[in-house]
Amino acid sequence: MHRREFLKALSAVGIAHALPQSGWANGPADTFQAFHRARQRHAWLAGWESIDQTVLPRTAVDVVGDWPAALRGTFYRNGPALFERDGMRYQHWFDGDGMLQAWRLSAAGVTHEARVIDTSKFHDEARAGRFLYNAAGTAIPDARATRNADAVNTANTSVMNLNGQVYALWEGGSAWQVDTNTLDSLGAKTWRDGLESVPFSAHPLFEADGSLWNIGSAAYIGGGTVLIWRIDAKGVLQSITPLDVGHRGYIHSFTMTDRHLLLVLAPLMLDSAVEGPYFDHLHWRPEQASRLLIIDKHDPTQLRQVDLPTGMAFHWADAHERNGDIVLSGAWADSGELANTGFKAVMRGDPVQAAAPTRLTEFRIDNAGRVRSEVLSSHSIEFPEFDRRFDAPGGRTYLLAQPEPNESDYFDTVISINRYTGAVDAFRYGDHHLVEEHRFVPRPGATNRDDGWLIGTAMDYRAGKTMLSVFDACHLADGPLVQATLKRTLPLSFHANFVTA
Amino acid sequence: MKTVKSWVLSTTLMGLSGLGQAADLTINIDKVREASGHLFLKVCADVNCWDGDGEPVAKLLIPADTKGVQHVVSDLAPGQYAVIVMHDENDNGKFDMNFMGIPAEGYGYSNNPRVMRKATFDEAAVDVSEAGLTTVLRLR
Repeated sequence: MHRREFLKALSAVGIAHALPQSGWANGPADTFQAFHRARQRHAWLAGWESIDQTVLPRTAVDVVGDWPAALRGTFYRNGPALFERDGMRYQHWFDGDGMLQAWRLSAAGVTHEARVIDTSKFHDEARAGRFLYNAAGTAIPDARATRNADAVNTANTSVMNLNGQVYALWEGGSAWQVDTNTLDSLGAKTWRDGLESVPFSAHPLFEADGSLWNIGSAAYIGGGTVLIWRIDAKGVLQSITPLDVGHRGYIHSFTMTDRHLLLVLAPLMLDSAVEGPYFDHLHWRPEQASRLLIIDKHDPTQLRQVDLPTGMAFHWADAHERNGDIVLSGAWADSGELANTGFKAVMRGDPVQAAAPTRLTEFRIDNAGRVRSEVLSSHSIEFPEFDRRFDAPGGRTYLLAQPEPNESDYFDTVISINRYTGAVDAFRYGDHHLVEEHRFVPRPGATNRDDGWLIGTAMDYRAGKTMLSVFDACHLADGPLVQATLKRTLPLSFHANFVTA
Repeated sequence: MKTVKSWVLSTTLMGLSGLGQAADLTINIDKVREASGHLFLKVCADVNCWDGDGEPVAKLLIPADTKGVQHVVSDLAPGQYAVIVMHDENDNGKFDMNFMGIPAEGYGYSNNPRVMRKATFDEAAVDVSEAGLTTVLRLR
């Protein structure tokens, strides 16, 4: 199926979502009751259930199919998992304590293990048997005041591998180092004295030499400063550059070309510096532009600012430069209301309702700062992935999608869009499935673009199973080459990372 | 709980107030996370002092104790006072902050305002009546 037909088929089903009807002025105790009532009716809410154990010991899992001999290593996943304590339930999906999962792929077979990351927040609250601190989207009665962001760091968003060390990442504070073998917490990572609790975002980008770039945003405390982190392949901090950009917009990830870092600040603005639930003070300000920062890698203090149409992307994909144009693509929505509404709705047991569909969108900015945009998928997609060895145009973009309506209103399909031909390749896991981010892993020794595997997890909530699937990245529609099945469900995670053995 | 007593440093302030000069402000410092180092405590009667210009009513260092520390400031004139406590956990003689000015060591204010920046005098102020006041200051 080619892109145009695919888009036509999708637009025919009507993807416009209504805004959530109900308010959520009620507190975390009411959210707890509402969710558990809804949970009895909706099996798909398994994806948002609070984890029942904080440690899931290493377990061998059944494998169907032949595991590719060259695919050895650890597939890590991270996401919010502990949502409830003492009759209270968090009111925003992003609030849960992070749980790190490790699927270990060796010649002896596949194992799975997981544990809730023992951050200082988790440690305090586990001891108290109740929530003690306000979360990003939930006010806790009699909440303790916090010293700094790391006091409430949930380390719940993504996983970074750097120089053999594994870090669970959040975006409001430090990277949280974790033992690669036991998943024990090793504490907040301070890259240099004076950088305690400084925001380190969840989507660092790597150069071919193993060094990384990352961003940090002061917007969560109302500041207009963006930080540019530069860390070498050995894990040594090379520089941290604060940029006063005069825009207090929200940023979750970024992209880059060989010459520039590309950061987009969306007009999701913090209105108050009063301590309390961050998301309650975060408002979508469509009258303010989304601001693209084009930052010179050789001197990050040198930057150009260009306004994009109003909208936002949590996740950016590829970028390149050609004939003076800068081209970037991401999972773009015309509204940023999702952060304030949909991710709260699901915590009460309603579907994640987006205010606007999220579509793969490409922006092209010329030398004069003129912006052209092209929508490459007409329906909601998320979690873009690509073969990161290449930044020239024309490869596949791998995404999660929901081509037909389903009962959960969540992703049940993994697709790729060939950016050169427009061809779409898709595999729908089927009814009763919730699908999580899939990652591209190049086949060792292969030099052709997209020659490798797409690896990811999906949950069959009716069967109570979680499957790790491996696809030939160029033939998704053929279905998984091999699948490892864990006989339980787990809260849906956000991001994954494959670390080759 | 360790108790430390101090008396007002400035007799001028006492002289200005004609009434009830024997009020005690009892500050119970709670949630001391680390047993190491010292607590730096400052009591201010006005905004100038709070902002670092004027003289504090009391200013002292107290050894930290995770069971909590009680400090009594005696002979205060009734009125508004604001207290700041900073915990020099590593005893390096300064209050460590990251390069964005976010504290890396424990601190707290009287009245325990939940602000994500330095509290203002008004936010931290407590009313000390002629009968005195006992207040809990929770370190964060």
